[in-house]
Amino acid sequence: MKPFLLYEHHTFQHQIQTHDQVLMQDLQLEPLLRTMAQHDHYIYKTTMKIILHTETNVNTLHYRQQIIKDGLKNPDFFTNIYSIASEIVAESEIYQATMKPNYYMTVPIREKFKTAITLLEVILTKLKDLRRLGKLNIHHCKSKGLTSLFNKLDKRYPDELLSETNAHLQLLQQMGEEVHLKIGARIGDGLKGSDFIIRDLLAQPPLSFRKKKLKSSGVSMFPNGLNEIKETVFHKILGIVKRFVDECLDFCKLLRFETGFYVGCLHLHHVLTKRGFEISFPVPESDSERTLFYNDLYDPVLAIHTGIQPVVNDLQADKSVQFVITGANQGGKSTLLRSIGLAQLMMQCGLFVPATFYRANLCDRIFTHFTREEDMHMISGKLDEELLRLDQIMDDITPRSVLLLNEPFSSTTEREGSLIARDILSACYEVKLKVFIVTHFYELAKWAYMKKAEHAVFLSPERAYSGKRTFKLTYGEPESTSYGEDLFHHIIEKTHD
Amino acid sequence: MLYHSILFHNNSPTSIKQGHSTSDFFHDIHIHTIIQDIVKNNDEYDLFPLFYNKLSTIDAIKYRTAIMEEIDCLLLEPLETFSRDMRKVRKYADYSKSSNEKYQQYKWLLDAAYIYCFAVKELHSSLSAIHLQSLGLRRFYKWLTYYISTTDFTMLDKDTLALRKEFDQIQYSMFIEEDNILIYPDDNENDYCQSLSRAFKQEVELAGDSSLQLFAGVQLSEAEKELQTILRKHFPKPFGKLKPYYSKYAHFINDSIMNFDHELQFYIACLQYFRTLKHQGLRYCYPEISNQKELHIIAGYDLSLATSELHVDKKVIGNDFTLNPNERLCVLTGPNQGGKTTFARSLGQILYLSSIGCPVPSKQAKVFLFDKLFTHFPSKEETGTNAGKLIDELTRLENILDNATCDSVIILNELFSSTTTRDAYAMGKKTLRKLMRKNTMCLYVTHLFELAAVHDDIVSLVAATNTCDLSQRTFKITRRAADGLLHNSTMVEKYGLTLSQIKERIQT
Repeated sequence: MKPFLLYEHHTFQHQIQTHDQVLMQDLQLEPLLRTMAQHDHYIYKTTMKIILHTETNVNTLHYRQQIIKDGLKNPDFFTNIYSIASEIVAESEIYQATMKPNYYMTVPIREKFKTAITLLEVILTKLKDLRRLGKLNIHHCKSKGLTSLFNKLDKRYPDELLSETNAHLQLLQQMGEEVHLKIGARIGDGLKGSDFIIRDLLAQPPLSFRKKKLKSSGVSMFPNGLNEIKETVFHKILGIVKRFVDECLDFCKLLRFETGFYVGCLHLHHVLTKRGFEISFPVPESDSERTLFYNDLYDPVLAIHTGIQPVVNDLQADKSVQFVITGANQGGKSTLLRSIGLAQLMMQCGLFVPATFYRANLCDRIFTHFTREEDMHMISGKLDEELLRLDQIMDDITPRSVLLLNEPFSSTTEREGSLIARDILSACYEVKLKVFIVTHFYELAKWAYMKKAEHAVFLSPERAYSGKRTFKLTYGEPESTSYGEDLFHHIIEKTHD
Repeated sequence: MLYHSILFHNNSPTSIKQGHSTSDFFHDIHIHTIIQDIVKNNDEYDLFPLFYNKLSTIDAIKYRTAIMEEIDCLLLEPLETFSRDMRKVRKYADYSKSSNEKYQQYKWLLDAAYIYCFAVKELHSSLSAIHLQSLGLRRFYKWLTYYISTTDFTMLDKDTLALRKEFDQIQYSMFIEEDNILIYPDDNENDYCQSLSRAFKQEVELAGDSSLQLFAGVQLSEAEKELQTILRKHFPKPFGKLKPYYSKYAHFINDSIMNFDHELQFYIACLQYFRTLKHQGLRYCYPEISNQKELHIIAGYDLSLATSELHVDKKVIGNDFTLNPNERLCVLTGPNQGGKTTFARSLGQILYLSSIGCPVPSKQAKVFLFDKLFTHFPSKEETGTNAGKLIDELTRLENILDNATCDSVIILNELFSSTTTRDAYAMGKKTLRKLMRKNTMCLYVTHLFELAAVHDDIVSLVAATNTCDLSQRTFKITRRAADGLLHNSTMVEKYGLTLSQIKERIQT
């Protein structure tokens, strides 16, 4: 049995992608993950794996959105399921260490048996708690994921199973203390005994027979053989208990993993909304479409960090595949690029997004190529490294991916950088690969603009009537003069004031 | 009535040479490795001599192929079962001999006979179920029908079943406590493991066998001997019958049944080997064999390459090859690593395997009966000066030319590779002329493409890529004039980021 809270019919398969680290760094995922984790390291690792996975099935995303919506109505329910699963996993530590193959041989069988029985008792209690929790809360839930999870629990661990196993539990605990069992047997090939089957755990031979035989040869024979038999019996029963315990542990590990993700989502929701930042559930479109609409999109990392509402942006871009963002330094370009990347990632794990409205096509994966600050200072020899990074991206990228380029080739001259970037933009445009490029290369932007490509969008910083910069980005032709000039004036004026 | 061999149609294995033959070709065309692969699971039978002795008449070959094909179609599973049972019979009979406890000795024999009777009857009924075609199996079936009607067999069968039944009905149970055990001569059907599994609602298939594995080994331990003494007191009747049974049937196994089981292993080993290949998508077939000196092979491949671990997951290239009755001499040229050696090997394998009555690695094959197979492949182990190497090579060649007849097959792979091109060409030319005169069928593999044009009657074969992509080594052997224009080169672009490269990379 699997919880299936992330997918309706299968479990999450984690694959480490070569680009993961770059994406973490470029989009500044870490502060976002820390907010989701709220000091729970396990949740941190879990959400990281799931966010980086970029799920591409629309139905799966709706499936997760429904579950999050249920969670928002009743956050404690989720937290409790997560705790129960975590407790079972934590309690199993000694058991798992004992059962490790290299350690296994050194532990006496009876000790292993007792460890397993002890854990079995814990599991049976916790399973009861879990089912009680379900009975109390499930009628408030609308999501398919949660209702079918508790249906499955009711079926796999019904009341009669829990009570019947309790009876067995007592018997097994007793057996751990003292042995009184009966084994049936037949005569096999070559007079070797065969079909040895445990008949009863608590058994006595018929009284008359016992009295008669006590004095004859039937009793107290072969001590070595006796030990062998007892050990084999313990192994056999341990095998059955272990199968039940292991199955349950596997389930709990998955349950912990999957609910851990949702608990992380609820944490993030709490942090964002308590400060009044708006969120909404995005509308994912098929990956064969090319579409992007958003209202009041902001950078959640900036919001969490500063605690005040960052600049918000709007966009309506149907069928567009090329987004060229130009303009002054400190104009909010990188922030916008990151917001788009983050919103896309959040949508593709089933999360809500930092915007009042967000609709976009799904992508296979997101690739980022950012010029990092340290690169800016080291001009020579860095082009090689930049090309190598792009080369690695090209190994994995597909036409249904999203590529975010932030000031590419600034390690070389505007002329050379523009020429290289032109080839990349043309190639991507032809195969309909969605590219967002932030560049200060006027030559490149001008070339792109002059092509009057149908599915290209040009964004540059909005200027308020006052001439003051708003950090908003709107549609506009690339301009050759950089706002660096007026930034300079602004700062110089201020310092001169 | 006499048993007739299922391996030799004249019933007389004329002088089977023991041990491994030392002829070069076994090594050159990897027949050694293939034979080892074939017999590796059946080493208890010593099958090697059968694989190292080729048959000398078409009738002898056809006798085997017919049996092989019939088993392949309908009988492999029942015959495998029979042979597994027989292995168990022999094992139990051995246990009986080596046991140090007399009652156990008797009982092992009884159990051996029990399996034996069952296996023989099963074999007979599987053979009865089909209309046998091959001469060999028809003869055997006739003999088997006779054997199971003899009183030897019917008495054995009756007595064995009866006594076995008495033992099978014995039930007892053991009461185990911390420090003692008690044997009770009765039992019930409870199964605690099952009821625990049921309480846990575990799936029945996963729950597995609930019986305990106690008292390992085939001998009786001291504890088991004590246990047996108690049981004998409780159940004196069946135990009492063991001794008379044993003295009557101590040598129950029929020699001809043993013989059949042994001969059968040749077929089982071959078919298991080729069926494994079939699961990997490699075809095999039964060659058509005649006196007409022509060859016709469709999709032939090199068995040793196809089965080597290095070749896992790679596609095996099959080659077609036809040699008309008037054609004797083929020169195969092409680039290094172009599949020339592989082709030469596959041809040798197909010819040799067909001469011992085995299936061959191809989709279809028409072959002829040859008297001897000669090969000369360059060997890496040969050390020494070039001159010494050449002398050695020439001595071996001389030996081949002296001994080959017009019914032989010669495969020469890269002769004279240690000399200069000029010398190699001159000597190659002379060798080819000699071969021409001898009229022996010969495949001459060389990288010197000029040699293909030495004589008009030479069939020129070229190993060449059949696609434009040079990096993919999909070499095919084709019949055409050798042109020498074959080179391999691949170009690597540093980052692969030009417009067209990016477009291609994104889309793949």
